[in-house]
Amino acid sequence: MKEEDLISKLEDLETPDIDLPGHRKALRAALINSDRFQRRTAMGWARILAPVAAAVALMAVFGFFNIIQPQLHIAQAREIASTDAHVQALMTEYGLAITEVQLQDGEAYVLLAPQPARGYSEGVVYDTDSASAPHSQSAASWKLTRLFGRMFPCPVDEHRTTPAPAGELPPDAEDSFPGYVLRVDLSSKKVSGFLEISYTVALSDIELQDAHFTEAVLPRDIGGEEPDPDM
Amino acid sequence: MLVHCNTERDRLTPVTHMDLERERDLVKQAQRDPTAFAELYDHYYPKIFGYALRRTANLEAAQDITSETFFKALKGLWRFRWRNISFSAWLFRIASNETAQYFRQADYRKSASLEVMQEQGFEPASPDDPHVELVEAQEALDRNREFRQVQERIARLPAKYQEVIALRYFEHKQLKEIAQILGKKEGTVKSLLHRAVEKLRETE
Repeated sequence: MKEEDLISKLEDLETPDIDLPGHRKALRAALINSDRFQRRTAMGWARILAPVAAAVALMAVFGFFNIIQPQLHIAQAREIASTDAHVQALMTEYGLAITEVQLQDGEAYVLLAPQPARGYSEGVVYDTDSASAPHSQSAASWKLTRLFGRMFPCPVDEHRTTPAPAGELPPDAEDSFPGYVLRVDLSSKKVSGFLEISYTVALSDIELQDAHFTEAVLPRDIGGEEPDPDM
Repeated sequence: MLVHCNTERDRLTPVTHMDLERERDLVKQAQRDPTAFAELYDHYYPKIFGYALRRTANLEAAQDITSETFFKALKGLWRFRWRNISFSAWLFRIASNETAQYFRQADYRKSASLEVMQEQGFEPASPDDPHVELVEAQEALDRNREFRQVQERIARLPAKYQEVIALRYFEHKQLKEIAQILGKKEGTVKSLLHRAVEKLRETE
């Protein structure tokens, strides 16, 4: 068959034009009743938004209790410790400073340690595991250190004056006063316990639960005054 | 069930087209208003179902393709913009894609959208018995022997030739509109059509 003939045949071909009223009506009804056209009532919106609102609320609660609240407690513990007259006296007398605050089992612990002498920690990389502590704030910083003839950035752990492994005193430990760990009662907003440490460590190195805190410090000499035994 | 035949004489009769402005308004309203969508549906259902039937020569497949086409159109109506393509061409494009999918997949879903709604408890009230309707429609389709023979030959061609022949000779679309539907240039459609007819001649 020639191309023209085939085209003519196609053009003149009787094609079926069948209508299925049942299918047409069913499909029409299905389309019109589809979710696309359902008006959202207050209850409908509530059903949609309820899971979203619940998820947001959960995230807010989680964020508050895991991020915001610990930071607030740490700041509060630091504030309570630094405004305590007794602690202030210790800091002044021995040149101590708050170097770390940690929350553990609902208690706040504050490390009072000597302010490091300039350059003391230089070149020593300490194995601090304070990062593994649940909520702690340390005064670690970075310094350039010469190593193998080149300069490298090294972390300077300012609250620890002895390198790990713990137990070995640093060279000049005998000349410096190691410090204290303070237990802060956040509900009554006061320092509730003192623990003298033999040499400065990180809070995470101390078994704080088993440590024996005393209600007051019997210092070697705080400004020549005797501590108040009732404290 | 209604059975008609499209002939050359039918094509000479002016076809009632929906006024373009009216159609634009309806498309805009149909995104929210079911009545507007229903009006578009009533106008285009016979065209889309007919196209699907003439492409597949299979009543069940034509129903499935038509259902999917309109559900997809409803779903994507908010995306439709009247730029280079008319609403009619857009619907035919969806139907063409669905038909291509039918030919690609042996297990093309059976009225998925409609069935899902019925499974969810939707009962379309219709006085027509779908079974009787289908039987009668099938008999009418079978009586069209000449069409069936030509359709069988066309079905052996690659999909790109099938759709261009169907749109030109069964749906009587102009080259410009076919180009819109297929997303091709008019010149490309023209040469595609020429090759399609040649290929069809070879099947004799």
